[in-house]
Amino acid sequence: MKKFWALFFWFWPLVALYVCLIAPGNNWWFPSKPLSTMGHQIDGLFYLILIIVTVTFVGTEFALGYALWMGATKEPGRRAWFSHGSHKLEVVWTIVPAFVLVFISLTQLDVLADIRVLARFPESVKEAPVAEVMARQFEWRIRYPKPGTELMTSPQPGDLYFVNEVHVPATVPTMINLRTQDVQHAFFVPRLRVKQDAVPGLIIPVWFEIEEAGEYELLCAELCGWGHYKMKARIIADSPEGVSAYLTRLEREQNEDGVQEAETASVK
Amino acid sequence: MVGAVIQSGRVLYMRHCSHCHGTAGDGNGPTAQYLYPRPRDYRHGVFKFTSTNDMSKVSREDLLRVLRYGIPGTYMPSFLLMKDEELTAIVEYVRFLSMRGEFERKLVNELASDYSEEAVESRLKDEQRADIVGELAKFLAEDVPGVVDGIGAELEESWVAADSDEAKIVPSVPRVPDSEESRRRGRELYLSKTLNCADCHGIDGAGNGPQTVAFEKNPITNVPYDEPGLHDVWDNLNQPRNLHTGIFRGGRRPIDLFCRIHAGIKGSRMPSFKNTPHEDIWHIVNYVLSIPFEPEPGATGVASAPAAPATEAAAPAAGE
Repeated sequence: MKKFWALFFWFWPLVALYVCLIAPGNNWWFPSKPLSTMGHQIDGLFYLILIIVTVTFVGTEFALGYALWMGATKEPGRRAWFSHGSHKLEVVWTIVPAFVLVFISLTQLDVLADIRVLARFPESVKEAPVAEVMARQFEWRIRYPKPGTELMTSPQPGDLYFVNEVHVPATVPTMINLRTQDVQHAFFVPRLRVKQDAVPGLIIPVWFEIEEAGEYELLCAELCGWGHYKMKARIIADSPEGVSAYLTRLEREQNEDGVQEAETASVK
Repeated sequence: MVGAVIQSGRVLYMRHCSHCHGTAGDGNGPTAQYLYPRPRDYRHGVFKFTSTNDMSKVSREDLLRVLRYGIPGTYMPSFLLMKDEELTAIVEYVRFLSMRGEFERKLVNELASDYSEEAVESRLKDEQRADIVGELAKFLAEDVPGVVDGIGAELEESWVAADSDEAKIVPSVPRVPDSEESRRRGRELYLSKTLNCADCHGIDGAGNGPQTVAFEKNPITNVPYDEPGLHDVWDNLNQPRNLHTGIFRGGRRPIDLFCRIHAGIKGSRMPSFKNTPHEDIWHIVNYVLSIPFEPEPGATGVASAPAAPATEAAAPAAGE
């Protein structure tokens, strides 16, 4: 029975390793490969931490199993060795994790700065958000500037509005202004690895460069109320020409006066 | 199968809508009490934001639009990501709940005039209970089937008509191009005695006209409401919109605003201005769309106001 516990603690790290190995093949892993430029670096950081944690977990479990195994198989009469109060051990297990943590925090600084610090955003997007994404309970309201003008922080005449669908250009850096009308929400696009809280009173710039045109799911990742689960939208990444065609269409729709349709039909 | 769409609509309605709008569509689901404004009670068969004439019901298209784009400024969210056939099914189920509610209300009204508890009590003063019971039995057996058919036919006619081309509001003239002149004309109409928008919406459009502090009576029971202000047919306090917010619940397209003015907002105290020339309605639309961007409330001048020429002279100078 004593040996059982040693085997028990050796068994779990093996299971964990096995699960890690088969996870990608079973679709238990990330929703897709990262599809934004920053996504690769974010995944890189994730894997770095995953490796450090796995080595630590497996190592700790094996050490635990080893201690139990030695206890279980000790000859009668052999006295235990007490490590409690060992200054050397204390120093080692303080300094080693401290180095690991400092290493992680220094390694991620660049990526964090690229995501969060406006001064490090790509030059082309710094001054030119394509849209304002306003989170509210329980939907995403989008405001685009009138085609040919810049997005202002307050609504302007001619601004275009839509809900739960954001059209942005693919393959070029893009920035949106994230806001919330009521409580905290979070702008989360899993396939782009973009996640940013929306905080009441703040206008938060978020940038990304989508690598492939297509449809991306946008979710709220901050429990915002009873309808949190409803807060789903889509991001449609299109060529820049596609986006401007969409905005032209949206502008026409938003200026509909109910008679234009009949008129254009008769002109044709 | 007949009714299959209503069945699937029911499943979707229960999942996505019933927690606010209630299982029977009475606008009183478990989450309803936390919301302001209150979720719609369908049982009157009345929907506020329609593209149909003032006396018409809501069209399928209108309901679909509300589901797709939500109602900004309220808790009604957008369901844009649901599939078209799902949305259509929900629309059918909402129409079913509205018709059912309306049918039941009408039937109850039919019986209430002679056989409600109150009516029976007053009748007992000079009639025998047995006579009343006998009369009721006769009424139920002979007249009610006809009444039921009558209400059914009436409902069918009005709900079918709502989707017809005749019900849809089509302006007779295209939108008058937005200009300072048009806005000024809109402002004049807004303040005019005939339209009297300012009586509710206030002189500057802040939604604070004199009607908002008057005490109203419930038009059916004739009992004055506890709080001052305008009330809708659901008996909720329903104050006129502050036009400065830039939030347009029924949509911000010019045609949406045109319909709001032409047909009024059904169930609310916003009346229909269908007899106003369409060109004038467009002037008001242009004015209303410009209100959120006025440098200060009431800044749009009118011809008779002495301040107007000064503003007019100052604006182009600043622009140049």
